[in-house]
Amino acid sequence: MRLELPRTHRTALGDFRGVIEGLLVRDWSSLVLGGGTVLAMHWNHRHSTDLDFLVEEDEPPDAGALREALEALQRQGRIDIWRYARRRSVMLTSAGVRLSLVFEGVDAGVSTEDRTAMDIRCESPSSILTRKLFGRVLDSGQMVSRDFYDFAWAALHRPPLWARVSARLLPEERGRIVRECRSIVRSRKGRRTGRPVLRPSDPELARDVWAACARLLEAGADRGG
Amino acid sequence: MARDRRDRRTGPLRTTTWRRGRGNPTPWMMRPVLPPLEEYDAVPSFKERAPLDAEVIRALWHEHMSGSPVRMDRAALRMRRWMRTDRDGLLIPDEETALHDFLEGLRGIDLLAFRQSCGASIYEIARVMHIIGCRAHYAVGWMRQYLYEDWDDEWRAG
Repeated sequence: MRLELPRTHRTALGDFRGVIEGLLVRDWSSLVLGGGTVLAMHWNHRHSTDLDFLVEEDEPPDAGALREALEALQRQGRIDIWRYARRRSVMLTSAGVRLSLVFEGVDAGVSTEDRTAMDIRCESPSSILTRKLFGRVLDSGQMVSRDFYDFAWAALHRPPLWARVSARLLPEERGRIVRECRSIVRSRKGRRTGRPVLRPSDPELARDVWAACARLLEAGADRGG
Repeated sequence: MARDRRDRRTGPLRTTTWRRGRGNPTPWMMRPVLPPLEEYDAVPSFKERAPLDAEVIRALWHEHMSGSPVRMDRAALRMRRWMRTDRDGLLIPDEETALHDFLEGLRGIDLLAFRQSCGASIYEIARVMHIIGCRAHYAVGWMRQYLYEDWDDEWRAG
């Protein structure tokens, strides 16, 4: 299947292509598009502003000189902001679109299905949800409303997929996340929880995302999935 | 939460996602900085205290600090005292070091468990982190998300 990138993303990708090919990857085929943008292309459940790439390479080709090259691009006005951390991740912003590349290593073996514009492979939805749940929530403790909107949407509209992803949660981990969601519900006015969910297909769910997630995670525990 | 229980999780996740980032410690200059205490003070809901759950605190402490001479007491009152410390000098240097090492070890779901069980509010956690000069990458990044939009937005020292 061919996934359709939104027009703004397609334009941004075209603009960034030279930078990506010149500085960031040796081989275009090592790029995998992941994150909320791919979920939004599959499900059309919200709008995503970022282009998140996983790169199946260990580091950028000329990792040592990349900092200077990015500084030069910024001076030329081709990119607004950049960040380059530990030879593993690069983030660029230009004209309101944020592009990030994470170097996962040559043997990352990211699970992919489908392709999008410029023949870029897309990460599979189950892999994206797994990385969000285990990488962001469990490993870093990030409670971001966009991610939890994705979880809730998947639980409601793609139950087998969500059951497969969340079945790996240990009972105590599930309980911790439920309690944290409840705590956010109780103190919502005081707590920022990431950038807002943009253009949600289910505004009711987006408004009530923390309570819905707590409910759905508990229901999943009762069903054993 | 004992590590052996966590290791029982099956699937490819165990070797890829879960271990990612558990390599060398983050270089000092790349660590996030805790926002000023006034920013936590300004949000009323950050003053709500979580209950003290001694079992969870003891499990976390002994998971990460098993060889430390600073021990956690049975009722975890020591943690509650530390968390309610309101000025420098109340914690002895050994306790400060141990608490810093403990926070350095906590990540992700353990941070949620800690917050939900430490008997203190988010404001009090931020206060004690300021007092001990905490620069633990994950703990500070996690505390920043209560104030800023993204966990790692604009987090460098300068």
